[in-house]
Amino acid sequence: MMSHCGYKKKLYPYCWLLPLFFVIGIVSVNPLLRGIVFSFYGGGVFGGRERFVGAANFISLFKDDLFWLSLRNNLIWVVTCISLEFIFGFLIALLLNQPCVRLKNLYRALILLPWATPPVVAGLIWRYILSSDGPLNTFLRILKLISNPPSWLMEPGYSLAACIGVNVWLGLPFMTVMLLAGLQAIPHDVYEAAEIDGANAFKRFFLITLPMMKSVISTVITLMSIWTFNMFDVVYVLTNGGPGNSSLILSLYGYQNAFAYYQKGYGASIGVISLLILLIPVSIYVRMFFKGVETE
Amino acid sequence: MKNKKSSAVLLNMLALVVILLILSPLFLLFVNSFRSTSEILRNPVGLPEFLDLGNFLRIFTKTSFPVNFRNSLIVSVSTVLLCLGVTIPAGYALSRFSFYGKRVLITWLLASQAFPGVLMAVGFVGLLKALNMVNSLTGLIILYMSFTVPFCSGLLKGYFDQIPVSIEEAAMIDGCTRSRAVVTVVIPLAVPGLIAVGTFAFMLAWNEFFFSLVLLQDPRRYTLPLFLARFLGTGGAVEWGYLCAGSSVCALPPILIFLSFQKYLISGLTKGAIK
Repeated sequence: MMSHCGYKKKLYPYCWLLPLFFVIGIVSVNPLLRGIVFSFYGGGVFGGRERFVGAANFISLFKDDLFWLSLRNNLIWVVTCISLEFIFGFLIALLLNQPCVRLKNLYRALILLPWATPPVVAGLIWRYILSSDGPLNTFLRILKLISNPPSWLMEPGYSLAACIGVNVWLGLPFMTVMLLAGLQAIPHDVYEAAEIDGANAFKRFFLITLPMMKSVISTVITLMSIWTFNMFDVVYVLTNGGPGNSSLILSLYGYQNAFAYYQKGYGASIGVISLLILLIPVSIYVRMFFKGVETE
Repeated sequence: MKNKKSSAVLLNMLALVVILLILSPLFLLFVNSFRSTSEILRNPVGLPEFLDLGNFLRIFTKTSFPVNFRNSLIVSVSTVLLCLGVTIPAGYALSRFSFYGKRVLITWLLASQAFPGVLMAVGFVGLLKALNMVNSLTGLIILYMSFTVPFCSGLLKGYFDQIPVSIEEAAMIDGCTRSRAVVTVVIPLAVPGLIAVGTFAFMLAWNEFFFSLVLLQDPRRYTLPLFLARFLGTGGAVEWGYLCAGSSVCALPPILIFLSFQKYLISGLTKGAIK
């Protein structure tokens, strides 16, 4: 530090960052920009001639019923997944945070196992569990809850809901553990003081717990919305968008266009739209990050 | 008092039931990998009649599973090593220095978590074609840097932030250069963070599916998730026995690694959100 003065001192940090800049430049900036440029081109991915088509991809996108369907499904997918994960995650976190519950650390580790499982494997297990004569339906028949349970992944009315259920199973652990950490960060004496002042459990939750968890909740919800929006593996393995496109979401439709129908530009334009939508949560996430750094 | 005790027992039981319910699909997977497909179809929920290793024997000897397992291992370990090589100096610099463009860099690192896979994949194919790396594991490893490096450099910055600056300043006053102080003093203190970041990179690479699906066409080059997903598509009825055995072996490395290092991981994960 002492030996570096002037511009030399100013340049010094970049020596440490050189590998990062190199890697980010090649594997992050470059493909993203290329991808965006390709959304203005028509043609194939592996070979085939590509030519500049201007905004043609976007214009046909807006006339494409399947695009609107997958966009609608995608929004249902994100909102339902995150709501369910949040509600169940919060309930489980509250349960595990009870002072009388033992083995907290063991439970916290075990509950994260679905999150460590490869999403493809999760999709495969659930494809088996949800199959028409699989464990779930056998179970439902034995308990006589539903006399004639549907084939969850084969019927248009249930396929998206089934995918959402599986993704909730995958995402719930992370949500729970983050919320639990937030709960554990609230000092006990706040609750004690409130209890002395006569606040009941209901009041304590809404007037202390929720307000004090505001930053954890907003961070984890924004971050998980971004991840969920781009999720691909689960739906690809479970239904591949079917039956009859009933569970088609944007990531899958983009993939199909770019790599199954060899319309690279069209697929890229779906990616551009996704990115534009994601700019909203991303800007919230970035703002929260810098706010957190400043208050540190 | 008695009332309080019984509610404590109730809450403990509820917690246990919730955990078991969440883990039941994984349990089902491991149990079914010891049962033959016909047994599974006959009785969807049941324990194995005997410890049948036939599924494992079959996937290891009759399919390309061992090769695909090796591919996954090569890709994941290389990703971890490369990722650490880049993120150690980067995480340190992000933690210690202020420099022009820092805000832009951090914004880019955070935002890259949202880049749609299809956009990145389309953009990458041109680059990999130019390097003649389509359908190669090296190409895949390069691709994996695109999401592991941003995530891990941010995480590692958090770990470096916890190490007091005074420690390396003391070493530098004693005549060490900064890089020497980092290697001899800071990095040994950051080992828990390095383990956590390495584990994350491993899990991200091992579990990744989309890019391998797009890039790899030759079954001998497939990684495990790709092999398993393709298994479903090969003709007629699904061989659940083989599929469960393969899935179990695929899920085991990330789960075991996670369980052995979870202490470091959970603190690193949650620290970022709690301010």
